[in-house]
Amino acid sequence: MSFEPARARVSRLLDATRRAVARGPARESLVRRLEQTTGLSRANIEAALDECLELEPADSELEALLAGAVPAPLAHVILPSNVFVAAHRALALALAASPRVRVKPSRREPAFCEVVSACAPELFELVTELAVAPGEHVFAYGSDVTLEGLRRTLPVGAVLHAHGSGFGVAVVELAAAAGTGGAPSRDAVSLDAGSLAAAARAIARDTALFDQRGCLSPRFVLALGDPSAAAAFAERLAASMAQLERELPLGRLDASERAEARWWIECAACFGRTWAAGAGWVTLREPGLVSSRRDETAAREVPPSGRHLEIIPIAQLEPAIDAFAPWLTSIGCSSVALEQRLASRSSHVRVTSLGYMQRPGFDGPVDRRPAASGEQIAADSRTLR
Amino acid sequence: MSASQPADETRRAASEALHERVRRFARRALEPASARAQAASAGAERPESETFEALALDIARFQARHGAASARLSRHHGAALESLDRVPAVPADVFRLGRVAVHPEAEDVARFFTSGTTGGAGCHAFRTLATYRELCVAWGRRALLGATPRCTVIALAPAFEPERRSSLGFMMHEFMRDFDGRGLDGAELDPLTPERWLLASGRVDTDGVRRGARIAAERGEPLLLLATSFALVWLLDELAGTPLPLPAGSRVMLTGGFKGRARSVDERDLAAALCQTFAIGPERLIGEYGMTELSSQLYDGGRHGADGRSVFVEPPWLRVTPVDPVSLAPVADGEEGLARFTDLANVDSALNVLTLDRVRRVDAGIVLCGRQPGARLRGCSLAVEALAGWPSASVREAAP
Repeated sequence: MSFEPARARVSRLLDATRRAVARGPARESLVRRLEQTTGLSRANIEAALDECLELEPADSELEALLAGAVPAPLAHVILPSNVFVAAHRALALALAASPRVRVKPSRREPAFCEVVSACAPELFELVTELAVAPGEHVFAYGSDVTLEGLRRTLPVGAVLHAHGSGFGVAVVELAAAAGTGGAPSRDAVSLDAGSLAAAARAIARDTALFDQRGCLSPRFVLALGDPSAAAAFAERLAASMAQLERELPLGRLDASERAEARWWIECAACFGRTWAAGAGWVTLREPGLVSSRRDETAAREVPPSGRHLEIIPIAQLEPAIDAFAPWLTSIGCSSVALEQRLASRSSHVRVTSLGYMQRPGFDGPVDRRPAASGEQIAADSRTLR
Repeated sequence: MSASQPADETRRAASEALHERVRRFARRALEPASARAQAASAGAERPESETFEALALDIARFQARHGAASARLSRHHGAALESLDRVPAVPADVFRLGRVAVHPEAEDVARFFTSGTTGGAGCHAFRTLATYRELCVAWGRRALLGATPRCTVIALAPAFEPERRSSLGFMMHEFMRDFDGRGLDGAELDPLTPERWLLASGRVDTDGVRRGARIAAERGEPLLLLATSFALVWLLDELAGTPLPLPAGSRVMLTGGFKGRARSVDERDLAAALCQTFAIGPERLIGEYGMTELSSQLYDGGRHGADGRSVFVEPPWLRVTPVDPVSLAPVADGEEGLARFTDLANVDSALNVLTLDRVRRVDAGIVLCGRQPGARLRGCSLAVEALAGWPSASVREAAP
């Protein structure tokens, strides 16, 4: 099967995005707009543009992306507001699927998509309302609640590619983590798997990007090994997060985000130890506080966005990963061995080195949980559940 | 004898002493002024009344010493418990996420659960129900009966189970025992008889309500109908406009909104329909506000604010403080904030409980202003309820 037309469309998109973010006055203008629309700090936006935007994918990645696309007569895209660079990959997936693409940008963050569109106006159409016909595909990104609402409004016969609520976890082998730190580069972290300091810095960076609003952002750190070492790692991680905050300042959180963070830390403080991590927190739950009638693994709140992490000491990795499976989009690993071990059994999850959780390969959607073929809307999909 | 036994006994004794002080505080607070004056003029020996603050601080210190959750929360705040405003509040979610108690599970005499609509539920464990029982009856009597000495009591609620899982069921059960105290058939009181609990399998027993009204009329006394709002809606549906007049002086206690229900009815429409159906005045519809995480209740006493919303009044042993959701500091008078409850009756759990209910203080009490809007559903972030499989609302278990 020839992917050439689709490849050409995606290549044009890559060109357009490269031009949109190339150093110069246009990028400067975009960054200023993104500061307003995303609330992220300028440094965080610059870091996202430099590190998280896939502008030079490997051929193999592009092949995989094109091969995974399901041809569609018309592709609709509903973009999220929480991770502005996500528009780039979402557009690529839609263009791989169809020559006709309509995009409904987020009301809160339309800037990035508009700038890319201005660089290639013929590639896709920006719309404010969705009008989907049976047989057309909808690529939607958002919370489960939003997607459930969308599901009810789509016509029978439409195909929904729903990328909903999720989060990442970081895994650290404490027993193996001893030694000096290094720069959080892919090789350094992989090779220097024993380095607690490097692991802490890498997790801090994965957490700080997009102020932890993305579905790839880690919310939990699974500390594999000696539980008594977890507190020391928590302290180190908090220090790394505070230090990184000076380089990548926390952006603007709205009132409900700040209230949610406060609520979460008050809850977390009832169950364990807490470490201030710049504007955020690192928490470590102490065992024995959950009554016997509860499943201790499930009985926890997800840390909210805004750079908060909970450390969970674990003795066995796989059961802990399985407990989070329905919501897990990415796993950051402190060693190559761990990466290989998890990649082989978690095909629906992005498995990367620590420090690379926000930059998965450009080979398909970041969220691999939904079936690539999408979900055919049937009459009973639209009834209240 | 295990090494922990002396410590347990010390803790139990301290708890008992605090419970006794709370009950004494409540009795004093509800004592009519005339009784106080009479005692004074008779020269009766009476110990000094203690203040709310002093008692609250002693409870807070007790909980910080013996309750793991309170101890950790205090440590997180780094707060020396020198004044009541430095006592941190335990978020209501903590009752769902773990155990909030100063005592081990082996000492539980009751565990009240919140209604878990998607699986799990919050739990409030009690070492003793003596204080809960006395205080809920005392404040309930004042709010629901007024000067009426006795009434017939029925509940539009599922039967109270001997396992004591529902705080609402327990409270209704106590009202039946104390306010009525007789069997509906004239025999000895059996509060667990199905004739008193008129909601089962999602169906209301309309004939049971009629029977209760008839018995009360034959006794020449009012009926007290205890009900959740949605059960009353079902009753109205069943009656389909047919009047069901209650004896003179009858009252209806309604509690709980429509959180988690597919159907909701405007409060004012419901009140109007109930008044018409039961042939009672609006002052006879008494709203109750309670939570599993608390041991005390508020009533609106038929009072409404300028905007028509119920004004709920705390008992003297409970204070509600609207606080800023970020700083957790009290908001200015008249402004909305999260409800922080300081409940002296929560001796063995959490003195201060923080909820996601928004409230505003008015002169006579507090007005409910809805739930704190959450940011959790935004973007890719996960709804906490989904992960934990727990409800967001802290509704007392009463649904069938």
